[in-house]
Amino acid sequence: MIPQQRLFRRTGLQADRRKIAELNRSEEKERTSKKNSASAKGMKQSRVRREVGQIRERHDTGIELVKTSSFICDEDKVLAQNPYNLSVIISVSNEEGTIGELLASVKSLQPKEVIVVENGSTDKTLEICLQHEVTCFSYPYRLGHDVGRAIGAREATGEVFLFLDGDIVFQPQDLLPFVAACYQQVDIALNDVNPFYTKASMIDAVSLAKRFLNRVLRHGSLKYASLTAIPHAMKRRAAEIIGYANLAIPPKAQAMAALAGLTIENVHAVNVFSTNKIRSYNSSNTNVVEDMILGDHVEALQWVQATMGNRCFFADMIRQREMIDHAISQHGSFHEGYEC
Amino acid sequence: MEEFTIEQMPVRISVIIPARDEARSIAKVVAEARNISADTEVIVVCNGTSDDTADKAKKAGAKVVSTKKSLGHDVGRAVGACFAQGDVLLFIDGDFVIPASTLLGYIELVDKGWDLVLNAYSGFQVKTNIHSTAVAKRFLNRIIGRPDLEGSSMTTVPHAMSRRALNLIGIKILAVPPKAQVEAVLHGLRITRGPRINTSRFNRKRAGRKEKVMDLVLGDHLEAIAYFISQRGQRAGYTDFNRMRQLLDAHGSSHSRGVYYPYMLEI
Repeated sequence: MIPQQRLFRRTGLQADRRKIAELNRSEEKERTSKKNSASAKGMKQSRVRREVGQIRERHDTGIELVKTSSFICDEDKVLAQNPYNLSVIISVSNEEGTIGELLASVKSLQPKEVIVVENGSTDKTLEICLQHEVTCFSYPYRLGHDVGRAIGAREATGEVFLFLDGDIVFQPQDLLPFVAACYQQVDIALNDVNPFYTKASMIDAVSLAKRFLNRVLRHGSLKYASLTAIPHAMKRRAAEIIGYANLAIPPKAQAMAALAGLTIENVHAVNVFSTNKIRSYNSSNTNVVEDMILGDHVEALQWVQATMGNRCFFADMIRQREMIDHAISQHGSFHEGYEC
Repeated sequence: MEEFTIEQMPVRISVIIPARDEARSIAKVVAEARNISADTEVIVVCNGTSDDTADKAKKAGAKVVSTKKSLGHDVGRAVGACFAQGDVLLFIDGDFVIPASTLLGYIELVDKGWDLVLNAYSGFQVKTNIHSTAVAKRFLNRIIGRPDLEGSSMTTVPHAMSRRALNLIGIKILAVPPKAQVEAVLHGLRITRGPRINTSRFNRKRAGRKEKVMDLVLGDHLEAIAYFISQRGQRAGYTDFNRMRQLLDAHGSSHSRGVYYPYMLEI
């Protein structure tokens, strides 16, 4: 028998999930129908704005199970600050199809600078980047995952860093909340991916790793949110405390930030599941990327354990382990009613 | 006379039951365990009890090991294992009754040659709502290269193991079940999943215990991961996928890169 109370809680939770799924579905429908009808640029802009509005509304209704941030996203105020404070850092490799559109979108944020770390591209990516007003570091070889972020951050001069990848085009309205949060009390603003987990099958090994690490760091309410995912933003101060080099191993950076007591929050939900481009290594070498991200989490845990002991916050105060030695010494001399 | 001959039979199966104030259920639990076969011994490790658990267990036909102090989670399993004589060890809890026919399913798998047979229950999950201990169990299994075990864990009962497995992993490690599981994998033991028993439905609620147990289980998994890393080295052997880490600490001027500034366009 399941206790009545637990039963209620469980069904309540399911109802919430259902509501979220419904919202997602209706939103998806609207998006596809509008895509077909609206082709003019002006209309596209207004469509995006309404979508963002919907997501915010969802935060307000309190349907979300995760903690949502209390920051205020006043777009005009943020845009007024950006030319003095915002550095956008984009690492890119062979993304001629998306990078132009992304840079155009980023430009409307009016940032102080856009830093592109282009590495190992064999297509027109560099040419396209140079057509825009960007600071571009161009490497003739591949840097490996997330190394571009660390290199870009070290060169950045702004007070808030917004990190993006070259393969997904974001609308400015989806990026502003991350920046806005960092202009306020949030040190690290993460993409709130949690509402998009609608099916059990979406919880893969990487998701488990993210959630486990967050829980271990006593940031369980972040759930699946991670510095591994983009977009995310952080204050310069946060990057300095973490150390620029460590930004190349995002889970480790997150662990360092958490233990340093920085404020990490899920600030805005952008769906990167459906838009994530299938790359050559994503399709043929999925396991390599998965293993790498898992390795990153192991490395993060390794660092946490080196810093605060193997059990981190979870010391074992309950077990009388020495009693086993006592029992082993009694081995073979079992008698009925043995007592120790 | 008949009872005497049963006592003299060589023990083949040892059922180990840590118990603490389980007077309500212990007699039934012991009876079901004894029903597995005639050559089954039942060892109840009675620790820190304030009720008559020990008497009831004895009356039901169990061998009873008593400690005045409470041993703490899972230590009772290790203490019980010290006294076990069987070739197969089955670990269960004193607070809920599992029918002998189900328990036999675990024994049969060990008889077939498996070294460690786990409960196929993967921990609490309803759709996307997973309990954090279930996350830890799944994550650990994936890291140690056994994603096929899903959330099955030695933290959960029942589980059975061969004498060979116990000798290889050692008795002491049983007190930290996820660590024992890592050790079993490192020794290349044959691990499989037995019958599925949803233990979250049975676990008796005790005031203020839930949070403590969750923290203990999470800490155990961390301890297990630390042990795995200590055996496998940096990143537990996982790929870095060609990260150019040497650049991270080197000054930009040594990166052999091209640098383009926006004002270059204006010239």
